[in-house]
Amino acid sequence: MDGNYIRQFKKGSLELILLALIGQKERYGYELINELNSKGAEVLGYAREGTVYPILYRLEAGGLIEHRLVPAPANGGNRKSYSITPEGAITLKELKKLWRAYSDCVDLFIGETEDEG
Amino acid sequence: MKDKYISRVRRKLSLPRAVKAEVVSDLEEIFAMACERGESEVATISRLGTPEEYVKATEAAFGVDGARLRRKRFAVAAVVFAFIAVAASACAIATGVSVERIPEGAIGYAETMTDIEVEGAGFGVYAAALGAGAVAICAAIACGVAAKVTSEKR
Repeated sequence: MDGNYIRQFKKGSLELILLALIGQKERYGYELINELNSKGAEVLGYAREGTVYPILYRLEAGGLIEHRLVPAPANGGNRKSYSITPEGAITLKELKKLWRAYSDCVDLFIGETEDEG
Repeated sequence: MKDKYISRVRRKLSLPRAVKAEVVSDLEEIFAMACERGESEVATISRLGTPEEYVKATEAAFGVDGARLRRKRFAVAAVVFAFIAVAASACAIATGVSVERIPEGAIGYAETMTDIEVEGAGFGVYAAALGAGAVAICAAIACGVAAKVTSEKR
């Protein structure tokens, strides 16, 4: 299948997935990538920092998530720990609803055409 | 290798300084975490993509088209230099005209050849203006070409 179709699907859904993961509990960047790859790599493709971090920047700039710096003893630096903001929680709720309605709608069309075929 | 990658991203990012610092510190964290997992820097870089790809994706997240911004800057610089070139040339011509016309009877004025060198301040200004004009023309052309090249690379 043309990689373009998959990219189009992924574009919007990754935002929602990341917001949902952070909404579930506070998480580190690498944790998000691990989670994506352990559960979604087959469908979404292998998640890379170059894809995930820009989305985190966008979500943070939009006020949906925030971060705090946690000292990392292993390398002497800091790690960013992301959490959802109250505004992000509201948006997540709305986006989830929209996604369900969206997928129901797509299912409906797919189901109809399958019945005919 | 890691430092080279990060400094390249830092150099190419067209984002506010604070955001740039954040992107850089995130990259440091990404490399540190990968190292903790026992991943080599080469493997991390191959996952991140080229610095240019990383820059492009990051700029896009902030709604910035870096290439377009750079093109615009070059175009503006070309116009500014062209303006300086015109101004300097005009200045050079004006000074050149005034240098040639030494009023009769002025100190140092001679109707026949003399050994006295007329050291008019005018010549220095003339040369400087001419030089500045030439440099500005070159700079204007260079910026124009850079703007064109940047636009074609997209």
